[in-house]
Amino acid sequence: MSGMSSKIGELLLPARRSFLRDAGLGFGGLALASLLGEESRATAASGASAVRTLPHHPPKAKRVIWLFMTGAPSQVDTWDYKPELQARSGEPLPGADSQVGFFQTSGKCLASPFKWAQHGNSGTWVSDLFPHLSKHVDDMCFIHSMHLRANNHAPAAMELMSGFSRPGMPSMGAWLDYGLGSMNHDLPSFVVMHERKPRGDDQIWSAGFLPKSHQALAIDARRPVAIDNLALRTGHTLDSQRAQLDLLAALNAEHAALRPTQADLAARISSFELAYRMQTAAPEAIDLSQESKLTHELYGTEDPKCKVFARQCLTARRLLERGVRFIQIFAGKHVGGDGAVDDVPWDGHSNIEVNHRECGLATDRPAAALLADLKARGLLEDTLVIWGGEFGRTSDSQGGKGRDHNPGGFTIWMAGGGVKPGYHYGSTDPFGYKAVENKVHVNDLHATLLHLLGIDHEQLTYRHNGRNFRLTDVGGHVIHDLIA
Amino acid sequence: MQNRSAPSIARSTHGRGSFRFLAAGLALGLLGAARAVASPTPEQIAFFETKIRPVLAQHCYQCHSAEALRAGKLKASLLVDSRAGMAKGGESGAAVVPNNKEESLLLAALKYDGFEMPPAGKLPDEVIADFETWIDMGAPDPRDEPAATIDERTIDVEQGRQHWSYRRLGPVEVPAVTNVAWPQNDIDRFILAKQEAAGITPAPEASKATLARRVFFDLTGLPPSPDELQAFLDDAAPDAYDKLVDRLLASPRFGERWARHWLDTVRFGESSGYEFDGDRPGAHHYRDWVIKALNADLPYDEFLRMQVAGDLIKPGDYEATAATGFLVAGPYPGQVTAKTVEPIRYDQLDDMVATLGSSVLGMTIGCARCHDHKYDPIGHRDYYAMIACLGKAVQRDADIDPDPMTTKQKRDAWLVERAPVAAVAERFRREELPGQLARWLATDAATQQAAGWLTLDPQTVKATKATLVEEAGDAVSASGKLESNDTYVLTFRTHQRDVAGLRLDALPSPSAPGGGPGTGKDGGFRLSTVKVTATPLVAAPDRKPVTPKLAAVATTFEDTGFEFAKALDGDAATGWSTAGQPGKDQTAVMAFDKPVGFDGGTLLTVELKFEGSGNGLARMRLAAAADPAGVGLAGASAPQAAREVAAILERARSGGRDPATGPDAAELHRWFSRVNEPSAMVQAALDAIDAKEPKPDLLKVYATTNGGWVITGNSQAVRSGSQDVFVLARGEVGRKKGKAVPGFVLAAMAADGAEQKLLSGPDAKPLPDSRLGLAAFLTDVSQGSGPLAARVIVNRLWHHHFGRGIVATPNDLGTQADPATHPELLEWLANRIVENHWSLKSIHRLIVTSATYRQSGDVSEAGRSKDPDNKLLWHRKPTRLEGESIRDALLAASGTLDPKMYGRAGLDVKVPRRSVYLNVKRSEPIGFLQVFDQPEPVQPVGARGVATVPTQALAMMNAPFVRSAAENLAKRARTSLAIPPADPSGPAAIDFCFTAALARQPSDVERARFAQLLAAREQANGADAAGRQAALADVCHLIFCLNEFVYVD
Repeated sequence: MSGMSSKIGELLLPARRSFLRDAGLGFGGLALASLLGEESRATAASGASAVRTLPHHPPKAKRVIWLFMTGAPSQVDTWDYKPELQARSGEPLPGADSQVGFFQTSGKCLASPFKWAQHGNSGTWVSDLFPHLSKHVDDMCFIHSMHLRANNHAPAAMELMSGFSRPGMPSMGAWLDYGLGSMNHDLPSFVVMHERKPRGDDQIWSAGFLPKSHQALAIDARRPVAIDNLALRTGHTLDSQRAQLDLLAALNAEHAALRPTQADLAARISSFELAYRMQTAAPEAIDLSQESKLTHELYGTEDPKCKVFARQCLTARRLLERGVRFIQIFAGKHVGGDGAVDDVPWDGHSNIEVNHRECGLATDRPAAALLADLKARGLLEDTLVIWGGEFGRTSDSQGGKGRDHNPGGFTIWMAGGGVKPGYHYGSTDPFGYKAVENKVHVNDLHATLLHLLGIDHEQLTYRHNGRNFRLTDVGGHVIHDLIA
Repeated sequence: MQNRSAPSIARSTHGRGSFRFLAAGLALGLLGAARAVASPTPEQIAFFETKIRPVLAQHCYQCHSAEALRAGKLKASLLVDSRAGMAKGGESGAAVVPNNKEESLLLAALKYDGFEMPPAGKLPDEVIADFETWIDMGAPDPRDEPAATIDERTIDVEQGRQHWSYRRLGPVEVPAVTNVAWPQNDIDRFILAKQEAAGITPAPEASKATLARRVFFDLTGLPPSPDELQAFLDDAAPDAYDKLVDRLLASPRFGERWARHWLDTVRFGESSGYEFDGDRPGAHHYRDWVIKALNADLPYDEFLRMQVAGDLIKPGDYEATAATGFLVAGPYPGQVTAKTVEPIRYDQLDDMVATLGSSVLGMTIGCARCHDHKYDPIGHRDYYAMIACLGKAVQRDADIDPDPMTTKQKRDAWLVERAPVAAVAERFRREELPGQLARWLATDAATQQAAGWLTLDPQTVKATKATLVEEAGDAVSASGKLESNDTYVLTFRTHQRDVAGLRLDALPSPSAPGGGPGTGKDGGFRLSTVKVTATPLVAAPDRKPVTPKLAAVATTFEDTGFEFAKALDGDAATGWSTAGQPGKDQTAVMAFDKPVGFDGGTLLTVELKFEGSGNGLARMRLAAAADPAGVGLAGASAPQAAREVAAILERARSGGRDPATGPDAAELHRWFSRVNEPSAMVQAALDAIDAKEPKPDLLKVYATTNGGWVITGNSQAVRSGSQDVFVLARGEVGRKKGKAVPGFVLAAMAADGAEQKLLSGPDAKPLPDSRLGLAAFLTDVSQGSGPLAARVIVNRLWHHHFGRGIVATPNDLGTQADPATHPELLEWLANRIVENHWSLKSIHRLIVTSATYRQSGDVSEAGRSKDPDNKLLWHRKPTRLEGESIRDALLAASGTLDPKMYGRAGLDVKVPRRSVYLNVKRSEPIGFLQVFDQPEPVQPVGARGVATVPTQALAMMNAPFVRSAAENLAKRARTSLAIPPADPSGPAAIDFCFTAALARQPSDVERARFAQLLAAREQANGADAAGRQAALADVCHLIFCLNEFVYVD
C-alpha cells in the first residue's frame, strides 16, 4: 500500500464502525465492502443480518464461467441422444402437447439430422456438432432434465439468470457479488461478455434491486473500447493524474474529517484510488497479445468461424485468473454464418441442421479449448464451467425442418468446480420431449450452484419492497447427486 | 447410457417452499371433485391396507397427521390420515381425486412433479404405480373419521384495520417542549420533544450559504447560480429564507426535480422492455404531465385519480389522458403468441396493481397474487378484486388534440370563410347544374359510358414502406423505400351496384431500379396476397361490409410456379411474378364470387401484399368491371366519372329525388366536374376552401384505455375476446376459480359496507366503471384508503428532504415495515395534507422552513453517543446527489444547461437538457446515470440505493461528458473575466469556477492549492490560448471530482 492508501485506511476505521450502525445507508456499507475486497466484506457481512457469515460452508468452486448458448440449442441434436426419435421421424410424436412451443409445431417427430457417436470412458453420446467438446465428456456432468416456465427467449433468459421470468430481479452474478464480495482489488467481480446483445439485453444480467455496486461489467465484443472511461484524458499521464489525485485525496480528506458521521465520504476517497489502479489493471487483464501463439491456436482466435467466441473465452480465462468471480459469455453467431438471427443464434425455428451446424462451428472449439486450458492450469478444480441455453427445443418439427421452443426439458452440462465428472443426471422421455426423471428446475440448479460456492441458498436474502427475496424465490433443492 | 445413478436426493427441510403452496391450496376448500367409491369391495380394502396405508404411515404421517398436529409438527396444514383429510381440497385441487390421477396432487408430489414428497427421497416406481392403481380403482379408503380441525391463519379484516397505517386519521396533539425558542413550526416540536427526552440538543442553524445550496438542490435539483446565491446572502431581511423557499417552490425547476422522485416510484419507462424493447414514443407525455401537475400543485388526491382513471373522468382531454400513462408504464413482452397471451395479460394486471400498491398505498399487494398475504391483512380475494377493477385497462397510443379550444376557434373562422363559397356552389347546383347535365346527356354521355372497365381514381394510397403517389390517368407510382415485404392499401369510391371484378395493371416505370413494373432487381415483384373490402359509404342497418372471394380469370404473363392464382390462394408464401418478361406492362384479372355495390355508394379498399422477400409494384393502376360480363382481358377502359354520374342520376330518379338539390347533389357535382368545365370551376373553388380546413395538431399519447385484452407485439398481434378477470388459484391461469368481482383491500377501508359505497356514485347507483371506484377508494379519507395514501405521500416527501423517511421503507407501511421514528409526526403531517386540500407544496414548505431542516451538520457528543444513527435528527448529515442532479449540476456549473422543458431529449448523455428529459429506454440505460444508482425502471422504487463504486470515479475522472463540462466552465470563466487568450488564468478564475461548482468561495488555503495546480498545468499545457484554457479546465475537472461537489451538507 502506498502512503496515500494507508492514510485512507486510517480514515476508514471510524467509517467502518459507523456505517454498520447506519441503517439508512446500509447500501453504502455493502458497497464499501465490495470495494475494499474480501477482508472488509467479512466485516460488513457480520453486521448485515441478511448476509450472515459467508461462506456458509467450505466452497468447492470459487469461480463460475457460464457459456450461455443464446437462442437455445436443441437437446436432441446435441447431448440427449434418442434412438426412438431417430427411428420414427415423420410419425406422430407420442404425448405431443399443444401448449409446448411458442409458435406452432407439427406434432410429428423430427429425427436429428446429425450423426451420433459415443465418446470417452463414460460412453456419452454426442452429435457431430461438437468434434472438440466431445473429447471432454469425461469431465462433464450432464443434467438432461432441466426445465423452466418461460417459453420465449427474454423471459427464459431472465428466469435462468435470476429465477424470475420478469425483469427487475437480481441475476446470479449480482447475488454472488452481494454475498461473497470481490476476490480482487482492481477488477469487478461480475463480468458479462456479448456481441450483439441477447434478446432481453441488460435486463438479463441486471443487479435488479440490489445495490448498483453489484452490477455486471458488460464487455461488448463489437466495441473498440471494452470498458468505458478507462482511457486517460488527452494531455495526461499516469504521473500527472497521480499528482492530481493526491491533491484530490487531501482535499477530500479534509472535507471528510469535518463530517465524521458520513462513512460514504471515506469510501469515495478510496474509490478514486481503485479507479486509478483499474486504468492499468483492466486493460492488462483483457490484453490478449500477452498470450502465446499456441494458446491463440488452441482457442481459434484467428479462425473466422469462431474467432469472436474464442477471444471471449480466452479473455474470460484471463479474468478468472485475476480474481473475477462470475463470468457469462452470451455466444453470438459466427461472422457470415446464416440460418440464425444474431441476437438468438441457436434459435433454429426454420432449419435445425443449417442453424445448429453454424452455431456448433462458432462455439465448439473455443469452449473445448477453455476446458483444456483451465485444466492444464489447475484452475478447473475450483472453477465451475456451465454450458447451456435458455431452454430446449421441440422433438416435433416446426415448418418441416425446424424446432420450436421447449422449456419442458433440456440439457445443460457443467464441468470442474466440484461436480461429478463423466456423470449424467435426470432424463427426458424416449423422444427427448419432456423431462421425466429427476427433473431439475432452475431454482434447483441455482440452489446447487450456490451450494458449490459455499452458500446456503435459503440464507442469502435481500429485503426489498417489504419482502425478503432470494435467488431461489420460494423453491430450490440442492441436488447432492451432482456433487463430487 | 452409462453412469446414471438411481435418484436419491438428500433433502432436509428444503421441500417446504413448493409444498407450502400445496398446503395453502388444500386449506381453502374445493371439495367438489372428490367422490370416493360408495362401498369398496373387500379386495379393494385389502389393497389399501397392504399397499397404501403402510406407505402413508411410514412416509407421511410424521408430518401430516392428527398426531403431528398435536405434537406441533404438522407441516403445511395437510392431513393424510383420514379420507376426509385427503379429499379436502383447496386452491390447488384435492390431494386425492378418485379415478383422476391428473388432479390428484398427492400423486404429483410422489412423482416429484411440481411438489416433491417425501422430502427424504423419491419413493420407488412400483410404490408410485400402486398409488396410481389405487386412484384408478376409486381411491377406496376405510378411514371414515373426520379430519382433525386445523387453525388456519385467515385474515382478520377488523384486526387488520387496526394496523397503524390502515386506521382512519385521528387528531394528534402537538407535544410541549422545554426549549420553546427553537421551533419554527410544529414539526420541530415533535422532533425536539423526542430529543429532549433523550437528552440531546439540536445542532445550530446552518450558514446561509450551506442552507442555500441545500434547499436549491432539494427543491430544484440544481445548485444556486453565483448571482442567486449572492442575492440571498445579501438579503438581510428576517424572512429572506422564507422568500427563497417561495421562489424555489414556484420555479418550473421544482416540478422537474420532484417528478423524477415520483417516476422512480411508478417504474416509469419509455420502452416496453423484454425482447425487442420497442419504443413508446408517446410515453413522455406522462412524465411531462407529472412535471406540470407538481408545478401547479395539483391536489394529491386529484393527482392520483387522474393517473388511475383520467381517461374516464375527462375523456379526450390531453392532460387527463397523459396522466393515465401511469397504469401502463410497466414492461411488457414484445412478442406474444396465442400460447402466452393470457399469462402475459395477468402479468400486466399484476404490474398495475403491484405498482399501485407500492407507490400509492405503501402496500405489498403483489404478495397476494398466489395466496393471502403472509403478514399483512391483504387477502387473495382483495388482490383479484383490485385487478378486476383494472380488467379492461390496456395501453394505447391515443391521438389527442392538446388544445381543442384553439382548434375550435380556427374551425369557426374557417366556416365563416367557407360560407360564401358554399352558397355559390349551392346556387350553381340549383340553377346551372340541371342544364349542364341535360346538355351532356344529350351529347357526350353515351360514348363516355361505353367502356366495360372503369379505371379507378384512387382516394387514398398508402404503403408500409414505399411512398405511393397518384399520377395522371389514375396510375399510382411507388418511390422512396423500395424494399421487399411491403403492403400497399388503396381506396376508391364508386356508385356502381354490380362491380364484378378487378383488373390490376402492372405498369413499367422508368424511375424504378429495373424499369418496372416491380421495384426489385430487374423490375421484379411478387404479389402474394390480394384482399378487397367493400364498405358502404352511407351507413344503414342492412349494409354490412363485404370481402368478396377472388378468383384468377386471366393474366398477360406469369412465371412458372408463380402464377397469378397464387396471389389469391391465401398463402403468404406463394405469389404472382412476371420476372420472365422484365420491363413490360402486365395485366391480371380477378373475379368476385358475388358482385358488390351498396345503395348510396361503396368504398372499395384494395390491399396488395408483397411478402416472402418479394418486392412491390413500381407503378400500377386498378380498374373495376361494372358488370359480370366484362371480367376479362378484353374490353376497353375509360375513367369512371361518366358511369358514376349515370349511376347517381339513376339512383336519384328511382328514389324520386331532385339530383341537383337533394342529398345526391354534392357527390353528383364532384363526379360531373370531371367531365364538365363549368362544374369543375365551381368544384375547384370548393376544393380550395376545403383544403384549408384546419386540422388539430394531434399528439400520440401513450395512455390507458378501456380496450379489453388487446396486446400487440412487434411481430404478432393477438386478440382474445374475453375481458373477464378470473380469480386464479396459486396465480396460475390454468386454475381459474370463477370471475373476480371488482372491489378493494377490505382492511384498508373504514368498514365492510364501504366497498359498495365506493363503487357507487353520489346517486347510490353503481359507477359506470369500477376503475372510477378504484380512484375513489385510493383517495377517499372517510371510507377508502385515503388515510393510508396521505401517510405514504408525506413519508415520501420526508424521505427525500432528509434522506430517510419517518418510516425508512417508503414503499411499505405494512406490518413488516421499519418502525416509524416519529409516528405522531407522521400522523400530524398526514392530517395536514388532507386539511390543506392535499397540497403537496404546503407540506414541502412546512418541512423546509422547519428548524429541523435548517440544522447544520455539527456533531455533538451527546448526539453521537446517544443516537449514532441520527434517527432523532439532531443534526444534518451530508447526502449524495442523485445521478441526475450530478449531471444537471455539471451542466449548470458549465453554463450550458438548456432550460427547455418537456419532450424527448434522446439517449445521448451530451444533450445539455435536464436529465429528467433523457429517454428512459429499458435496454439502454444511460451509463452515467446508471453508475450513480439510477434504478431499473421495472419495479417501484421508493428509496434509491447510494453505492460508492470505482466506476463512478472513472466516470468523473475520464468520461468525455465530464471533461467537456470542465472545459465549458473554464471557457466561461475566462470569457466572463475577460482574460486575454494567452494570459494565465489567475486566482479570480479559480474563485469563479469554485463558486460556480460549489456555491462558495474557496478558502485561502484552497485557493493557494488550486493556484499551484493551475500553475503546474499551465506549464504542462503551454502558453497559448488552448493551453491556458486546458489548464483551467484541469482545475475545474478536479473541483468536479471533489466529494463536496456530489455531496450536499
